[in-house]
Order: sequence, then C-alpha cells, then structure tokens
Amino acid sequence: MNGQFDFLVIGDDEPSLAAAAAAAKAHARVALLTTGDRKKRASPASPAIANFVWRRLDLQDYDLTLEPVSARVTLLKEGAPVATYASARETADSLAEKGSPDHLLWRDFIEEMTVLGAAPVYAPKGYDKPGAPGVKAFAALLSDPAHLEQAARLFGSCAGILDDYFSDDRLRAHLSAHALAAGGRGDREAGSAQALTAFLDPDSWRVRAPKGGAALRAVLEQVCQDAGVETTQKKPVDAAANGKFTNITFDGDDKIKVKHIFFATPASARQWGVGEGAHADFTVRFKLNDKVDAPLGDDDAIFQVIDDGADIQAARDAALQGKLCDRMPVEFEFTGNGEVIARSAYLPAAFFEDGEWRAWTGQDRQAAASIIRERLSSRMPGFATHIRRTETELSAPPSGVSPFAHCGRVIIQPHRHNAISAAVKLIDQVVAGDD
Amino acid sequence: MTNPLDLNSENKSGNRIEGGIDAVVIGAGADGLAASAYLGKAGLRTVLVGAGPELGGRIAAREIAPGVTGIDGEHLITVLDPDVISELDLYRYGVEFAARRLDTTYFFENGGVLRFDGDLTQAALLNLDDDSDREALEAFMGDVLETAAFLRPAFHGGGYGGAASSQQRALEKAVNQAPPEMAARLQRYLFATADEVLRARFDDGQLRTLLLAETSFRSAAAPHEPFSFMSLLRRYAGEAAGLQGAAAYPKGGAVSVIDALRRAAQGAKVDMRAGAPVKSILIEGDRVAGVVMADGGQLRAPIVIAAIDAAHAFGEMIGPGVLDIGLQRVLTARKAEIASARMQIILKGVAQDEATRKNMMRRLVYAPSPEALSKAFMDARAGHVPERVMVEAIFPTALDEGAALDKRQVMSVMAHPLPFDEAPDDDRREAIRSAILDSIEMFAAGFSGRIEVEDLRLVNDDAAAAGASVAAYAAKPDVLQQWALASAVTGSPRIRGFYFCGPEAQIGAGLSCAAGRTAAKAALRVYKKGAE
Amino acid sequence: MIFPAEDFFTDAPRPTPLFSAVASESEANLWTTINGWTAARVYSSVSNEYETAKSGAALADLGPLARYAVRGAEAAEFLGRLTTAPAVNLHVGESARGLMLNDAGYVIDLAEVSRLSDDLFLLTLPAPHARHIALASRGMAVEANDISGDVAALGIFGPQTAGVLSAAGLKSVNETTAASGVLRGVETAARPIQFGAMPGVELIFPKEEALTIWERIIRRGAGAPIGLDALEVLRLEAGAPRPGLDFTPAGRSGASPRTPEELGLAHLAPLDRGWFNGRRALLEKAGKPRRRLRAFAIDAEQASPGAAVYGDGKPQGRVTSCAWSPARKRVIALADMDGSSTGNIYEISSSDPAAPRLPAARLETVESSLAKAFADEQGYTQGLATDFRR
Repeated sequence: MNGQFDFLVIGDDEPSLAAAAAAAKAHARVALLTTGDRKKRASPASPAIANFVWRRLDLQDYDLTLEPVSARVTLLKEGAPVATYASARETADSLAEKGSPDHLLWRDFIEEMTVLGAAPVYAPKGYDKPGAPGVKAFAALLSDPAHLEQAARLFGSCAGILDDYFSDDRLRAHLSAHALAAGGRGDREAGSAQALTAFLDPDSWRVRAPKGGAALRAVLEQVCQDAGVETTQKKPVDAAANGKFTNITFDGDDKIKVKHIFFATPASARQWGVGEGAHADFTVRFKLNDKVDAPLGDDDAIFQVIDDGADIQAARDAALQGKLCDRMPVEFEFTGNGEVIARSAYLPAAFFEDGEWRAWTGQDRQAAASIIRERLSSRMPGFATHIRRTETELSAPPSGVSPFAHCGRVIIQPHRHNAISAAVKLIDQVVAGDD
Repeated sequence: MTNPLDLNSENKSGNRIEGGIDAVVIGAGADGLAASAYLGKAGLRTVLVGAGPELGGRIAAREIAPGVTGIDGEHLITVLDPDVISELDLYRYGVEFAARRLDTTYFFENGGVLRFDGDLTQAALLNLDDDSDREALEAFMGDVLETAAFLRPAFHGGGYGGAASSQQRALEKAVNQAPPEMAARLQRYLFATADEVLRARFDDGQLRTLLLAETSFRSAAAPHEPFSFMSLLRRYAGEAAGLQGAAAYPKGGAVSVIDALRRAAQGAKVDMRAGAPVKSILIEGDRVAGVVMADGGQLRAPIVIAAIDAAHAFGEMIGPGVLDIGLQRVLTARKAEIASARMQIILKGVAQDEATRKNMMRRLVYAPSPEALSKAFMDARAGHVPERVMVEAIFPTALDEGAALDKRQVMSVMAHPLPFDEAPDDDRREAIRSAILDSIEMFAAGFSGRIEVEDLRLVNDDAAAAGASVAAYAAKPDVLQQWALASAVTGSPRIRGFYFCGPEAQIGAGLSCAAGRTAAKAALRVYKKGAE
Repeated sequence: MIFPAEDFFTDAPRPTPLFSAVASESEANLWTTINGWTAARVYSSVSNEYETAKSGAALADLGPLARYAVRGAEAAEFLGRLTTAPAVNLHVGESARGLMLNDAGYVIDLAEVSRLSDDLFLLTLPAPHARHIALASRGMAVEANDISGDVAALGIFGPQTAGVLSAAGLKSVNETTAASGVLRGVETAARPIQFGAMPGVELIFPKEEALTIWERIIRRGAGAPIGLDALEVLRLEAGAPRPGLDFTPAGRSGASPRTPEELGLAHLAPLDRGWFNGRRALLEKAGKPRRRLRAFAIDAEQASPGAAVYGDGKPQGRVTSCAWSPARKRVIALADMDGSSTGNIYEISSSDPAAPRLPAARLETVESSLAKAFADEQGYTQGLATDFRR
C-alpha cells in the first residue's frame, strides 16, 4: 500500500470498521490497518447500530439482522440476580416484583440520565484532538450556573449520582457494574458518571447476529470493501509528522501519507501503546464440552459477576496499582456455538512489584484466567467441569516505544458504550472539519 | 462595640426585636470578619454574630502544652486575597510577615532531596544536576503561573447570579478573547488530569513526583481524575505577601490575620457579638428580613450575610420549606471522603548548628512516589488510613522570633490525604497519628525520639471549635465540582438581601477571604442601588 | 386534570383498575397508552361522547393519571413548596389547581391538590414525578406515596353529574367539596376536579371495587363513557395546554422550557402568594415572556399540529394541538407564538402547500379569560389583552 490518505483507521473491531466505512462513504480516502491474526470465532455481542449509522452505511443493502440481548443481569454474591431490560417498563416491573423501593424512580432516572448525557460533552480527550473541550465551551460553562451544575454531575462519580438517586444498594451495584465494566472505571472516581449516562442510551444496548446470520463484523468488512477502503495488515514501524501530514512507514518499506490516524476505541489504541494506558482488557473464551445452564435460564443475557458494589472501585484501585484483584468484576455471555466469553477490564496494564513496573507474563495470564474461571464457577456451580479448552486474549499496552509515540495527529475515541455511533460521529466531525 | 441603638449590652436579647441594623453577618471566621469589615467601612450599621464564646473561626490560637501556644486551622498563608489586604488595610491592622517566600525542601521516598531557594516558581534557583530538568521546570512553571494568573477571577469563588455575575461575564469574555497561545494552554490544562499533563512534560523522576504531590495536596481529587490539574493552577493563582505562588509565614501565625481582620472590623465600627448563636434566618416574601437568635430575639436587617457552612445556613437556618429543590439536592448529594489533618509537635532541644537552623526556616515537604500517592488516595477514599501521606512541615518557633521557646521547638505539620470521618474514634486517631509520624520519619529519621508533646487536630476538632458541620472542612473535590457548588450556594438561592460566603463558596483550600469580599461587595452594590 | 400526551412507545400497557369495566363498553375498541396505562380513545364515536359531556354525564377512566397520597405534619408546606397550589390555605375538602416548577421557574407539569384531612392530601399529576417528589420531600416531615395503581379513578363530567352521583349513592357530594366516606361498604373519596376548565367530580375507590361501582352507575343508565379523543375537544375548547403536546415538561429531553406566563397559566402561579419552588426565579422573568401559548379558532374543516401561524404575513408561531369543535363549527387550536406577537387575526398554513392559508382568529377560552382577569388584576396586561374590535 502506498499513496496519500485522509485517514489511517487502526483496529478491526466493529467501531473501527464502521468508522472507516463511514469516512470512505463521505469520500475520504481511507486506509484500514488490521492485525489480521483474527481467527474465525463467535463474536461477543456488540453495541447496537444507531439509525443514522444504518443510513450512513446503507446497511439495508446487506443481509444483516441483529437481535438485542435479552437482559443485563448482575450475579451478586448473595440474593437473587438483578436484571434490567431494554424496556423501561419491564425493568420497573421486575424491580417492583423483587420489592425494590426504587421501581417508581426508574422512568425518571432514564429520562434524567438521557438529558444529562445529551449535555454538550467536554470530554477530557487529551491533546490536539478534534472535539477536544473548547475554550469557548469552558467560557460558556463559567457563566451559566445551570450548565456548570450539569457538567459537574457529568464529570462527577457514578456513585455520586446513584447514591443520591436510589436506596436499593443491589440496584446501585448492578448499574455501576454494567455501566463501568467495559471501560474498567471505578464507581467512586470522578468522571465515571459519564459512563453511566452513556450506558443508558438505547444505542448502548447490545445486539448480536442470530444463529446462522451474518456476523456484524463480516458485513462491515464488506461495507468497507465496497466503499473503497484500502486494507493492510503490515506492521507500521515509524510515524513522522510532515507538515499537515504524517508519513507512516510499514514493514517491507510501504510508505503512506495520512492526515489523521484514527482509533475508534481506546482498546485498539492501547494495543499500539497510545491513549489511556492505565488498565488492560482480558478476555477468556471457555470452550465447553456440553451445555451449561445459564443463570436465570437465559443464555441471551449479558452477565456481570461482582460480590457487591464495593468490588468495582476496589478492582479499579488494584489495577491502577499494578495488581491482580481476585474480586474483579467479570462480564460474561454465552455464544451460539457452545462457548462462554468472559472478560474484565479491571486488570493492570503492567504489574508493580518491589517498586518496579514489569510487563505481563504467561503466568499472569494464567492467574487472571483462573480468577475469572473461579468467578464464573461461583455463580454457576460445576462450571469448571464443563470446560474443554480455554483461550485468553490480552489487550495491554505493548512494552517498548509506540510507533505513534511522537506523532501529534492521533485521534482516539474515548470509551463509549455506544461505541459504533460514537466512532462514526467522531470521524464525521473530523471529515467535516477537513472540508 | 458601642451601638447607641443596642440597648442590651449583655448580648441577651430575650424576645426583643432589634431594628436600625443595615446588615447582619453570621459567622465570625475569616470571611465573616472580612465581609463585616467591608460593610462597616461602607457606613452600614453592621452586626456580626458568632456562635462560639470567642470571635474567630477554625483558625485560632490554643494552648497545646503548658506555656506553648499552637495555631489551629492554617499554618501558612498561600492564597490570601491581596485586595482584602489592601482594601481593609490589614498591614495597618497588624499583619506582618516573618517570611514572605519560604524556601522549600522536598524529600522523596528513595531518600532523594531537592532544595529550592525560593519555591517552585523560582525554578531557576533550583540546584539540579541536570540543566534540562531545570529548564523544563522553569518553562512549565512559567506556563502555570501565567495561566493561573489569567484564571484568577475564576478562583475568587461565588459571585454567580444577580448583580455579581458581571465578574463571570468578564471572565467569559477574557477566556473567549484569549490570545492563541493562552487558548491552546487552556485547552490543554482545563479538563486534564494532573497525571497526563505532568507525564507529558516530565519524565519519571523527582520533578514529576513533587509536582503531583503539590497538585493533590489538600484536594480530594486524585491525580488521575479529570480536572485534577486545575488544583495546581488554583494553588499558584494565589498570592502571599504580594508574591504569586509563594508560601508566607505571618508573625504570630495565621491567627494574626484573623486578629487583624477583627481589628479592621472594629475600626469599621462593626458591632461584634460573640456567644450569639443564630437559630434561623428570617425570610419574608422573597427577601431576607433579619435573623432569629437562639434565645428568641430578632435582629431585623435588609442584608444578611452567612459566613458559615452551607448545611447550617441553608439546611437549618433557612430550612427546606423555602429552599429551591435543586439547590437542596446539590447540598444533600455531597459526600465527603478525604480530609487533611494538622499536627503540632513540640520537640525537645534546639538546633546546634547553623545548617540545621537554616533548614528549620524552610518549608519541608515529604512527597511520596506517584504510586504511593495514588495508593494513599485510594486508601483514604476507601476509609483506610494510608501508610504514607504527603506532609508539609514548618517550624514556627524558628520562623518567628516572637514564638521562639526555650530549649524546645514547635513543628507544625499538615498531612494529606487522610480518610474523612464525622466522628473518628480513638483507634482511628491513633492510626492517623502514626501514619503522620511515620511519614515524617521518612525525612527526619529519629525525630520521634525528641517528641515531647504532639497535638493531632482533625477536621472534626476544627468543626467542633467553630460550631460548623464537619463535612464543610473536608478536602475540596476537583475545581469543576467546586465551581458548581460555589455557584449553587452563592447564586441560586435568589433570596434578595441574602449572601453566602461560607467554606463552600471558596475555591480551593487555605485562608483566602475572597468569598467574604465578593459577598460584601455584592451586598453593597445592591444596598447602594436601593438607597438611591 | 388534563391527560398528558400519549406515550411514544407503547410497550406492554398495564390495564387500569377500571380497564375490564370500561373495555366492556367499548364499541370502537380503539386504545392507546398514557403513562404506560391503557386508555380508550373512542368508545362509541367522538361526537356522541362529546354530546354526552355537553348535555348528560360523561364517565372517564382517570386511571392513567399519577396520584400521590401525601401525609405528614408538614404535608401542606411540602405541597406548597412542590406546587404553586395554595395547599396551606386549603380547607379540608377543598381542591386547587397549580403547577410544578423547577428552580428556574419553568413548568415541569400541571398539578392538582386536594385536602382530605388536616394532614392528608391527594396530589394528582398528569404524569408521575417520583424523583422530583422524593427530592422535594427531603428534610420535611412528609411521606408521599404513589397510589396510582392501587385505586380506581372515575371522572364524571357534564350537567347530569349530580344524577350519576346519586345513582352511585353519593348524595352528599357536590362539585365544590371533596368528601370521603363509605359507600355501601366501599371506601370512596369524591372530589371536585376540572378537566381543563370543565368542572366535574372524581370518584376514587379501591381497585378491588372498580367493577362494583362501575356496574352500579351504568346499570342505572346514569352516564356514558367518554374517550380521549372527545376529551381532547373539550380540553381545547377550554384552552388548557396538554403536557407533552403543547409544551414539553422542563427537564425532559428536548424540552424548550416554558414559564407559566408563556403557557398562559400565570394565574396558576401568582407571585403575590406564599413561596413555591421556582418562585424567586419567576420574579425575574415575570412580564417578560419569550413565547406565548394562544388559542385560535381556525376557519376550516381541519388543520394539523405543526402548521405555521402567520401574522402580518410573517411566521410567528406554530400550532401545537388542534381539533374540530362541534360547538364552534371551527377547528380550535393552541399555538406556541412568539412573545411579541399581539394581533388578533392570523393565518395558518395548510397541509397542502398549494392551498391558500387558512384564516384564524384569537379565541377567548375559559383558561385565557382566567389569565386575562389575573393579568388585569396584576397590572401587567401588555400582550395579553385581546382587542376583539379589530
């Protein structure tokens, strides 16, 4: 691959593919860098596709059906599972049925979080990135108390909002677990409230292709191809600023010039050693011998395992301190082909031992996988006996200097539950900014 | 003190209604004293009522051992509003600095030491082996000081809503018209975490460590949280003794500023009444009409300034029945998690050599490693006492000739971060005590053997002394949260004639008086308009 | 009390306590949902039901409205804070209309307060506001319980209302005082209500008794059910704004907030009364409306919400809701108008772009008369006075 591009999109998850396709459809020249070592496997559920993304990518022309997951369920250490559903009514009714005093507040809560989440976003996106908090926005913030109040809540803690809203601590634990698990945040740290509002956005509700249907990733790959996205799997070795462009050199001496380097998710950025690097994502695929009974008998749901609400901040603290936490929240789901995919974002990016930071080792991976297996076994007795094979995937910053370390024009979409719409919106903004 | 209309000299108003008063100021702390002095100076008949037996708030002199006076509350001056000093003529009323710009020594976990002749703002005076480090620090502090000075109006606190919002509009205009370089800097700093800013400017090492510590000192925002970098800008927007970013020691300690404020208020003919607790604030229609005293008497006045904590002022004295629901939510939703602690230690013996004597005239800072600091915040937030905390120590007896003792020294310590407790038990106090002493041992090995008396002062002690709710003295959250809270308590009550300048109106820690000044100025503007 | 707009998403509506009773009367079988509850749009025909309300007695299932039992030593002060209704001044048995405002003085919703005893009130709202109520009760000796699903509520409107009440066996109830008592073994509360400005009585009884009471009334032929569509005509004739249609409640997504004055409801939030939430902000905004909700009679067979309203040839607002009024033989509409628009004669854009604009004139309604009388009394009549000589 050689030549000049508007974007180099890096990553091969759904948000990256959607962003690359959207930019190409807006007549930008897009190069897409994927790792290429992805095996053919069942995908975990992905965020829903907002209507505007559907239209932008003309997905009606492809054979794509997606089904929403049935529920978000949290398996606490004690008591019955807590579940919320896509329908506010169903959620409120189920809370009422379980005797939660907060069922009447659910509707107001969704409404208020939607309003809060729709506030102009001053996300701390770091340096020199489009959509970064404008100075004008800051000035407006200072002169409008109502605005300031909203921003303070949005950048406050998740626990700050939930404690003020609900009295049922099981519901609070459930909401924090689902809202924060994917980004690996703590519920008591400033800034976590934003994840809470985003998680209640209908586009954050996860979907998956029905059994036998085309996988979303495969469809998006096709869309990219049809839109003229050029794909490469070569490893970039250097990126150097050159006026308005960045010159990127790949293995094997391919060279391209790009205007923007674009990461659609923090996870894809992390793999190249850029962006927020405080934690790692760890995924374990358990291939099963035979069928395991899902909690609540519902193998369409997304499950979180925590003992109680305190686990979330404790696990976050441990990750920041470079430690494994044996109480870390674990998310898991059943795939159509007899697998259980479990993941946690509460793992350290590197380990801090004897005053030194060190990288992940094979032993650490085993230890992490065994914690996750234990967490699942504690909620599904006998789970371990059904496991045929275990595969692990780690998304941690690589050791060594990132090829993008010294190049300014890197755009990273922060973690969002509605990752696909967020990525498409962001790349649209950049495209519009270029015109 | 001699108010001809005040028929009752014994502060016992019974069920009497007292009129002829232009303004009542509730709370006799620094901001209350400053506000009342401004009002009195402008010719308003002003009554200052304080709940405690003595005037003055949490900053007070107290005997910590027979014959040894310690000073509670603050031990250094870093953010005292220069306008208050000049407008209230505080130098004439007795403020005098024993040290205007304390030299600082930083101690690190690994035994390293960095000495500044001056403070961080004097980076050029730093003795560093590596010139590039010094240049980096100099450039960085230049940016910080300039940005902080630019944002200074934003740190004055309060002043939202109504007539006072002109200050906010002026700032909005200034920010919108900022020159490109400043705009770029604001863009980088405003929403950033201290971690990311410092990581981008400094490699791992002592400079990053000490800047992280300075940034998070006395703040509840951990360095990896958004907006945490603003804490540093707020700190270096302050002035002491006319020097931006300096830490100063006044003769007689911080309490001498309180004394000067009291004299200024006295000079402004403020009727000051100690031991006069207020029960409620009278509201008639949409205006304030005065206060009801605990003994049933009333002071009627068209202006009431509350210089007490918001929980008391709004929750109790005004009451939920006439409080905007949104404001009440903001007040009730807060949860304090982190606090600082003070310790005053009497050490046996005096310095034998010149070098030690000189060292004792410096500001000594123990800066834990970034990892230890971040762990300390996590522990404190989870309700545990951290193993190591950041410590700022000075020796009042060395700095201030008037305070010198015979064969003994007083060391005054501020430690951070520690868990916030409404009512800490003995075990908790003991754990905090030993965490502080252990942290001091890190840079003054063996000093424990010289301790004669130690006096630990937690926020609940300060609150009890000042009659305030404990949460008001907890460490402040990030600057954005503080802005929102200050804007809510000073702007949105919208009760005409009522102004608030309690601790929630102040942005950042330290003795400032800016909120008291802002409240008094706003009251005067409206008063004068009404008088015309 | 007015129904709010229908729910946008109608997933799995819950049956109101009166559902099985009213469902048996429904010939049209045309249903919708409000606040998640079932609500009948039409039983027989809109014109029949409208006629019943005008000349007989119309029975409406008011189950979808939100109801709270407010109890406690500070219940009156609490309601005086939460709503603009003069709860403190209500005698036992009295009811008052009001508004719920946010801190900035913008309308969250309509409200109706009835005092049932010294420390027990009934609060009726178009939609539930559990969070706002929970916040407002902080620090006060009061308990507000949502009883919406636990009670059946039957509204009775029209000149024959008294007949229905006596058929039901409630002779003592009149249209001005609330009463509660045991009605042939069933604990029942009856209170005067207004649907828009149309007076009526609301009977509230335990949901277990819903069928019994309904049967008793219907068997005597004392009234006929009325659906949402006919009620909508009555509402528009009375000039009462409907939440979610004529304005979006403050705090909801997409809300462009409105003050009481901007909705033509300044008389429900008088500034010379005691304190209520949002009052101090309202003081600053009083007399300076940016928008005005006004009633119009449109000289046409039909018009549609969203249509532009032209005054002096320039667009000055848009229609928010409208319906054909059999009594006036015109379309009656509420329109959200520019605050500075003061004329009486307007034109409304037609749904067919080729067709000429429809002539329209300002219309005096019960609500606008109340607002005008209030404004005259307050002395700021600017913009409110309607000069019908033009």
